[in-house]
Amino acid sequence: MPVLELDQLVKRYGKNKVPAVDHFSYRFENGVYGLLGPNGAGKTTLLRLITGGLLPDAGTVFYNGQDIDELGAMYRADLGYMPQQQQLYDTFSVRRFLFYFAALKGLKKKEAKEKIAELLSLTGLTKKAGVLLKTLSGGMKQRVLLCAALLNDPKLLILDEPTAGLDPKERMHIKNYIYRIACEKTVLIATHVIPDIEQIAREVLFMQHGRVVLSGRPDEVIKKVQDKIFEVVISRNAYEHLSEMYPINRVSGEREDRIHVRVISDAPPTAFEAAPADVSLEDVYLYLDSLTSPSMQDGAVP
Amino acid sequence: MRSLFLNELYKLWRQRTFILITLFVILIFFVQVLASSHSTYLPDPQLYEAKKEVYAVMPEDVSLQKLEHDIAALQLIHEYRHAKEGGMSDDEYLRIFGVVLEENGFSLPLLFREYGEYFNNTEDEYAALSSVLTRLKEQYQYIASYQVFLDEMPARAEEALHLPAFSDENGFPYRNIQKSLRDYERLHGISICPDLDEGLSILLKASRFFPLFAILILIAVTLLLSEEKASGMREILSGTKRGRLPLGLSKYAALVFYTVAVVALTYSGCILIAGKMIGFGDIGRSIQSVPLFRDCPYPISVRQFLMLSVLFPVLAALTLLNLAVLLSVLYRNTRVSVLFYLLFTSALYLLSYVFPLPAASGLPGEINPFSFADTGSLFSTYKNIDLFSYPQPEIAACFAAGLSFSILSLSFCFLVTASVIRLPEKPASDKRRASVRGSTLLFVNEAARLLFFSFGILLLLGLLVFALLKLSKKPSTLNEEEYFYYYYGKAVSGPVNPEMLAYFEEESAALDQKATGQNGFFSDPSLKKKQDALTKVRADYFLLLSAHERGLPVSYIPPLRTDPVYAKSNGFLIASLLVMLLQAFFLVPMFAADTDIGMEQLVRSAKKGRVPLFWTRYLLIMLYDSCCFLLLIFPVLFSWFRNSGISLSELNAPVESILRFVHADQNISIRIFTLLYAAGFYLSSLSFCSLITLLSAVIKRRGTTLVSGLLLILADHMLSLTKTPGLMQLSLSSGAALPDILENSGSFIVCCLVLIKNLLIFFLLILLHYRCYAGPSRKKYQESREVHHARS
Repeated sequence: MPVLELDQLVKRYGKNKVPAVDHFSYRFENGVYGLLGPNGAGKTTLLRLITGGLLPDAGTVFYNGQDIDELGAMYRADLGYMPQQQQLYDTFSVRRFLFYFAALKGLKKKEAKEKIAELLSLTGLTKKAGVLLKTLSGGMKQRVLLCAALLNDPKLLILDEPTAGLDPKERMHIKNYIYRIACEKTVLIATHVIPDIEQIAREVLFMQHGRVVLSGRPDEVIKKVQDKIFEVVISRNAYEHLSEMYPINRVSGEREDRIHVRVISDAPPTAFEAAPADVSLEDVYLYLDSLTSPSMQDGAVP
Repeated sequence: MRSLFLNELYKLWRQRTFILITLFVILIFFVQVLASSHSTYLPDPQLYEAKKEVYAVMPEDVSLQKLEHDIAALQLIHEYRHAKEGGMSDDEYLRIFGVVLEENGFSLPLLFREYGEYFNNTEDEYAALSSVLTRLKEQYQYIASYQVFLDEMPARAEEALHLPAFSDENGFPYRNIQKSLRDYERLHGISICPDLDEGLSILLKASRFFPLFAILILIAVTLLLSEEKASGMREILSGTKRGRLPLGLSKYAALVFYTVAVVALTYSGCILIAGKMIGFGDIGRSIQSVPLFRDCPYPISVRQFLMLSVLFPVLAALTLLNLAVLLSVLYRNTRVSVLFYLLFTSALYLLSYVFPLPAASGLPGEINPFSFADTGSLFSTYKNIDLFSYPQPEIAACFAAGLSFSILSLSFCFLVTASVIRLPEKPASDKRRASVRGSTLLFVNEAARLLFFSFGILLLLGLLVFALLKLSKKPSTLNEEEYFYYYYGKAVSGPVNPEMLAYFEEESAALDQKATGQNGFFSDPSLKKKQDALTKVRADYFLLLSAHERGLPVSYIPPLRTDPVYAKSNGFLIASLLVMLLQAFFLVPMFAADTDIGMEQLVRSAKKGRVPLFWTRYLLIMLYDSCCFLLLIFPVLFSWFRNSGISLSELNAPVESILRFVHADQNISIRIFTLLYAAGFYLSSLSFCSLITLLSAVIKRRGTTLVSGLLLILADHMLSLTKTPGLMQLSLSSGAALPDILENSGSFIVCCLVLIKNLLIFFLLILLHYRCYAGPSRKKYQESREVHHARS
């Protein structure tokens, strides 16, 4: 069973800068882990530390109990990494790109042929195998990168925004595939698209300023903010006033000039007719975000 | 339309690397003309003009007689001065030279009276005057011969027509002879006058670089047409109101503008440089005044020829542009259109230059844009094309073919762009595309990146053409002076022996005797040249004797045998500079592309994405450089062994046997030194590759790396080209300048130290690059983490 353990990881860009990853410790076992957090929270830096693309200033990444720095190529043989990347080798065709990565991953030719055919079929790229990468759309490039990450049948799969740019059908397809393969792997997904991990993640980690602020199984973390989300039915005219007072998650359908608004607040909004709402991971994300947002710090939320 | 056109031009302008390449190509032309101007011997232009005026007022036959008379007088005066310096009295002089004086219609008082001014000339003034008069004499001889050439043409034609092979009135040979009579008929009465024409010869040499424009055109078309088409931008653009025909026309106009501007600027620049440095003489004179253009059947002036020498390359380049545009329209896949273009142009180039035999090339060799761009050859030879047994002038046939091709291809492109003709959208090879093929060998994948995706194969192909040209080149013929020098050198070649001095005495005496037979006067110019050659060989031999006296078993090797490799020229350094500059274009993307587009993280996360990838790339770069080096050096060495006549025993002689190394201090054979030289050259080449790749790892941006690399290569070669001892040894290109180092230092140890220094730099560069690529060592990394922990 592959186990990835992060021990007090610290990474700073520049000597006196605020750390991008600040004493981050966590243990990952089999299953899908969702890494959530706003832009600049340190998600990509953390993933790069895990892949060995960056060296930590302090702390260690252990894989099955051993320092990945010492494991070197042995660790990378088990690793599949899909970065946020839109610029690829433009002049390569999809097939050549995948064969190139098969070579980099040390696959045998027969094995590579079978795996590439399987992955192209899975990601719906079979007909695009001979097409140049520069002619592909952003979503297709994402799929090519996913194929490249999966080529070596990795035990540890690191995905940075894997579904960005994909249409709903493709997203569903990829999500199901990841779930299917995750039973024997450790899959770490950094994403902004919370519904993608909501149903498949074994645990989710919310990151802010390089640290984990909340983590656990999705139902556990949801429980922690259960009483912080309220649904308010207000008139359209009152919306402006409400949004100035509370962070608002969602606005739903307008009926008879009244709208349903989900409000994030530690206490029920007193000035409005409010009822506790069913909480989603998105609400948790927004709640945690609101704790550090400037308006919150200014004391705007009661 | 105007704004579309300007936008297309802007697109080209924004391609900084492309603009750099363009400037580099223009620079090659200019440097070639400048270098040729410096190495061309030119008689004193002012003196030449003054003397030309003197003889121009006379009828041509009188001028020729007068010139012969004046040259003889000048020679006699020169001998008289030498006789006087040797203490000879007038009587003694008359006893020796009296007959010659009489034969030329001179007496000593007459000589004093008519040519008194020459008696006080210095040796340099005498040489300058002699050179000017000889040149004028040759030119007047040519003028006389040209008239004979024209006058005798009908008789020669008549004679030829009686031969059975030419007598069929409906056959091409018969009509060709008749046509040549008509063509040359109109040249009767054109004004042929002497003038300096070295500028023209230099200008014509620049044409050999015309194929570089074919590459520039290909890149421009790829950037403006093919890439847009392949990237799908064309579909976006064609959905706009002016996205089809107006955009297509604007793109074509921008390409035409670029082509015309670059080619016209280059050739006009060459004319300006050659005109300023050397001059073309009176540009109003007919082109037939230049002996090279004797066979030109067109009554044009030098001025008109100069204008045509700009116009014709422009037209040829436009034809190549039309070919590239046509292929780009025909093929959606950029690589296919580029490949076809390269195949077509390479075939045309080979037909016109490498295998110029009519039997081998036939029509394609003559009706060919590369032949058309070579204005010098086009106008200096009389050639008619056999078109259904009717002779047509080569120029007209070339022009008509180019024009027809351009009209047809452009019409086709126009119709495709206007959607009148629709090309099949889906390529027929869909099945092949869907199949999964490829290699999982890292080396094969990286080689494909370097050769085909970074177009590194272009340099290899270019060097292959160079190698073929070099190998197919026949040994150059020796002029009379060179021949005599070689003749006497060959006679005394072999181990240096003081007894051989007797040979010089005997030969010298024999020559003196011949001269005495002519009353001591060298009326036979060959005799004087022989004497000069013998003196030169004797001086060389004395130099080698000094090495022999130091105990070195040196041999006399005629310098012409060692010159192909050891002549005092910058040829190897310049070749190294050019090849390294070109290599930089292809090698920079190997490492910099990953960091430039952010692929580094992804690549490095793969199992073989670090150390194995680094060494694979390094091995590939070294192999690529080795191929370039071999293609550059092998033909030179092969031609040397094949054409120069150097023997194995001469190769085993000490390197001091080569005159420029006579002061060296070690007993190293030429063979060993040549091997060392080749190794040094190779090492320099490898070191430059390492430097370029290291830069790409440090700077990480492709454009900046390329510019820095080019500047470093240029600066380093400049250090070697200065030939300043200290600087030359410091440079990385010193391996390609090893003979200069040996000549300057006279020490073989210095050469070895230079090589060791280069070897150390090479390994250091690899180590530094490896450190940059692989990051800090584990030990250093652990230490830094411990320090960090302690601080925390």
